[in-house]
Amino acid sequence: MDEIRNLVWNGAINVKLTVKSTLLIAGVKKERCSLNIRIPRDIYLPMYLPFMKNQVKDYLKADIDDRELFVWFEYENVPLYWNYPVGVLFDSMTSLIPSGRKRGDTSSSINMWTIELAYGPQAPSGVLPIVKGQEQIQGYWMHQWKQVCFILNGSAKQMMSLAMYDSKKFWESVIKRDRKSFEFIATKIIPAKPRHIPVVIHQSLPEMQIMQPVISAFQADQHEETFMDVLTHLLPVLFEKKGRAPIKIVCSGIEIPLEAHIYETYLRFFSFDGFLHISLCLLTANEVAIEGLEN
Amino acid sequence: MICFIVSMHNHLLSYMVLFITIYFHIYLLILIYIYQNYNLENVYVLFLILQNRIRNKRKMISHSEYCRQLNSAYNEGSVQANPYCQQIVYDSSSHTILMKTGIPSKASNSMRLDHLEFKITYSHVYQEPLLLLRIWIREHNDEFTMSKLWFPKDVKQILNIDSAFQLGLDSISSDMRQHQEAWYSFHPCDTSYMIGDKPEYLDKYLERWLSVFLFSVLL
Repeated sequence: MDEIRNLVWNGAINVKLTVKSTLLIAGVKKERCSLNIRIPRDIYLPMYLPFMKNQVKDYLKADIDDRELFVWFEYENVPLYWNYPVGVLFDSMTSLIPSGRKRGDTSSSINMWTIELAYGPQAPSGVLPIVKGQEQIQGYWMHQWKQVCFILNGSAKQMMSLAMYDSKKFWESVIKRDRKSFEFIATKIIPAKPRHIPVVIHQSLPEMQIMQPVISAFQADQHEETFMDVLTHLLPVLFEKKGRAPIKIVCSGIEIPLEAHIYETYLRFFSFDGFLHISLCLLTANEVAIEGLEN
Repeated sequence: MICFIVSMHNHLLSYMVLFITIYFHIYLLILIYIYQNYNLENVYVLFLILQNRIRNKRKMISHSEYCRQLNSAYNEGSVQANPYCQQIVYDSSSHTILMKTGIPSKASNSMRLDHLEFKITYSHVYQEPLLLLRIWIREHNDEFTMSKLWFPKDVKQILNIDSAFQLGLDSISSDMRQHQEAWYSFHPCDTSYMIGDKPEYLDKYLERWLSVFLFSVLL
């Protein structure tokens, strides 16, 4: 388990960040202000915003530090909800074009995820406006953990009883990518026998939906819940055994079997915000052929 | 004999004073330690949680009970009766109330503010009512005036909201499967402790909640 946790924690994505061409000063080529960076999967995208702003601000038409302007990210003109981990956004958004996932990294090339920086007087609907910078991001993250604590334990006691030093260290462990410190505090919150399991399901098709179902660790007959149990109940059209849609579930870029137990998967794959994020991804043509599924 | 009793009495007194002094210092040291190392709001809530656990009392409101009480509150007109209420929409399928209000007199910077938008809904995670807030401001153009959403960082100061409330920008789905919207959310994790959690309050839980949360903002 420790090995999987280590891989999940250290998972990263190669990102090519550009700016929407309509927002650049006339004559500035898009390539001139593109940035290639490697971002951990388990982090919020705007945590890199100060660095990104600093790199591109000279090429922009407007001053993005202006209080009246909002900044956000887009992938193929679709705004990204920064309040979910980067890896989850990548899995959910690239699932829309499965053929794009076919080519993996090779010795002479790497896959890049191209996203764009955008700004304007109004943030797109659903995108949380960033108004307090890193302080807001930290506050949001702490409240996610409070929710997680409540879902797991039925009260926020474990979060409330963290010393200020521990709370600070918890956040710093995310910034400094210190897994040992992170897990030391996370294990104080995650119980051996949870009440419910904090799971977020990201569905991209037929439309963008984010579900946060109430999931018990065990069924009434004391059997551990599997993803199949939950998804057939939640999305019967997609997951009925007969005529199943060409969809797979992905967590941290890894396909998870539908028969996997949810709590066991949670312990291995929970994200830095305490939730287990599951993306429903379309299968590629090859995968459909292998699984023998029909559209 | 009398001298002995007096002497013992004095000894006992001095021992008691000594014990009290030691205990006082120990408590003082504990309080200083807590003050330096813990967030005091968290300590207070933790104290209430432990107290509640000892008393073994109910802590939250069930969804069905919330729906029943929300329906009653709307039908009795207790939300609409607030003098700042301008428009109200009750959705009986999603069990939410959407409300447009004027700017409360205690708000600062009210020249620019146009109206407030509140949503009363239910948090399935915390099993508590949830209050959401958005601010609309007036924006003047050469030809017309329009209102637009405003997300200031100092919302509590602008609306003069009590510091006891934890308020933060949050991404909210109006139903479990619907699209997300940005709202200021009154974090519900310590709701039952703020409004009282005695079993006899259950019948009027939402009424009490409305008084503490919604109507205290609309003063």
